[in-house]
Amino acid sequence: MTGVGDGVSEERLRRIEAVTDAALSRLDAVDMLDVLLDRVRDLMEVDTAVVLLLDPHAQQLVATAAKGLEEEVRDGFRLAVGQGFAGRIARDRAPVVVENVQPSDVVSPTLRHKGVCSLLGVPIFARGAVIGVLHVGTLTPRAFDADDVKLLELVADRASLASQAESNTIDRTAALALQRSLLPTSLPEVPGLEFAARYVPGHDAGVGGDWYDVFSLPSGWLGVVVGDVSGHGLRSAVVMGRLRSALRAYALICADPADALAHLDRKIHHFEAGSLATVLYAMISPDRATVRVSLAGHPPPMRASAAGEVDTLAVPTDFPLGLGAPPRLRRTTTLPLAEDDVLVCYTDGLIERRGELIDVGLDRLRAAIKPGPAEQVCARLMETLGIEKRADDIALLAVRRSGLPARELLIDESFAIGGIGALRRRVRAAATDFGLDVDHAADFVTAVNEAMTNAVRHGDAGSARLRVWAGAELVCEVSDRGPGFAAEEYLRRPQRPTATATGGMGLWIARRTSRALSIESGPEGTTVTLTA
Amino acid sequence: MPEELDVSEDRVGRSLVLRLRGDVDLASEAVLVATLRRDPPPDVDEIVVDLTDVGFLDSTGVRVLLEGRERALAGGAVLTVRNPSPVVLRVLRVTSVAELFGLSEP
Repeated sequence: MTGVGDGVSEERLRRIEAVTDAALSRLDAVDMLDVLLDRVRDLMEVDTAVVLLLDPHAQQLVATAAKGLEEEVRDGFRLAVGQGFAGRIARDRAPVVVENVQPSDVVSPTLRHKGVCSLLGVPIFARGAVIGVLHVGTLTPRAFDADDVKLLELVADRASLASQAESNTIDRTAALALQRSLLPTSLPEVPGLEFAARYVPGHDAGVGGDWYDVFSLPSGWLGVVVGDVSGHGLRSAVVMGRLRSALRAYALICADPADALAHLDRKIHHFEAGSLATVLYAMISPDRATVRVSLAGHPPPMRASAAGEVDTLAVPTDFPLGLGAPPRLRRTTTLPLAEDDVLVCYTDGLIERRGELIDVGLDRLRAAIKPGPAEQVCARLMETLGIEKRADDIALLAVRRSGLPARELLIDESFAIGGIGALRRRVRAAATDFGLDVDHAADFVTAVNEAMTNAVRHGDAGSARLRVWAGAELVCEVSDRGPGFAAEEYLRRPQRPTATATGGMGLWIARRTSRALSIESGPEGTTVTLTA
Repeated sequence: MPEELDVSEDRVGRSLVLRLRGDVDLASEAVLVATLRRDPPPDVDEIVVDLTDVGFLDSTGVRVLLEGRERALAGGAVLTVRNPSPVVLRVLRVTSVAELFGLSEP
């Protein structure tokens, strides 16, 4: 124990121990401070005892526990470092005694109202830094001596341990929650495709600037993203989180990957100036046979065929995001995807080694890709490429086109206005046979009816056709030969359109009563594809 | 066999009740339009479209009902819809018109 001085009575020693006993540590921090202050009040025979903790960001002391001055805590009293009694102590890092408190000595309205006469305060230290102030006061004049100061410093040590434990817990919990929200999202289960992924942040922060993302779109297409925000650690991860979220939003309204990346580029320039990122955004068609890719400074995917041939997709690499002044030329390349093909998307952490040309890493990757289930592809790559702990993040995503179950054509009919009703009944029967429940089946019939109505209204007479397939899903195609229309505009609307013949009310209903809806429309005609 | 839309009319006090029977869609649009195109008689405060026996109603139906409602209001009457089946109610809700026709929130 720090020298409490000679002449300390047995009684006093005992009571000091009361302040520091082990039982205190079993209480949680807030209760602990409370009990501590109670004991201090008794021990030192004072009327008030307060602990203020430092908010380092605001450089303010916050009343955290108080006896005899409870209002300070209740009122959320805050004091800038350097201001008032406690502020001085925090600033000067030394105890202060005021025998006769004057209004100019204190800022706290509570202290003033209480009529506190004498004050003794000490800084609370942790690892050499001031983390708060502990002070005691009396309502009658009191001459605090050196012993009192030392005793209070002892108590301050105890208070320090308690509050460190508390703030560590809070920080850790918050950090964990944030971190978890920045980790890659789970991979969806969709028919016709298989996914696997790996994410290894290079930094100890547990998250970094690399990411992958896979999501279904209302059109039935599937979005696949791999990205790399420059830098690493938590700061990059935060920017990554925003980009990931923004790209999903743009994906909802852009049928073209290049468009979505152009939007994202504008966003990063405007809101995240100074950040740089490379991104790969690919869209896979509902029938899984086509992939559309746009690259913003990012390495192209590699593709392995079932036969074992590996090629790099011939997609031009446009500018990274955040570089120079937009608008930049951004291109979408459309390529076929055969059954059992595996696409491998990655960030450069997978292929770069210090002191090596990037081509070496690319060749190594190409040699290590063998066709097979997506999970095996990822496992093999991580093993073969000899990834040791390093500074750069790694994100890896493998997408394999698995076979869609064969689908059966249930209905294939041309129709005109008089035949719509009968076809509705046939679609309802097909939906029920497929196993949809009553409500789901009714919704699908509603959606198909709207598409049929539009085809008759707007398509050339006699050109309307309905096809319904049952496979992994129940899918219907309504086509017509007509002048076509700007489908995109109608599909983007967030609000119900007006009720006119060409107002888009039918499409609105169809969107809401089908799981996926996509439209191809041009001068040759229109095809609406609906999934139940 | 296509279902023709059938409409029967009833006067109940100051209400005119239009009972529809069949499907309301593109094929039956003309019938419904003809029914609702007439201005309400001066001694009618309310036009009630009874959908008890309507198995199906689509965007065409919604549009015609909305037009009918406009016409009724212009003539000093209200137009309400009564007893829609779940399928029909679904469409009225999805298009946010249920309340306009006097149907309450779920």
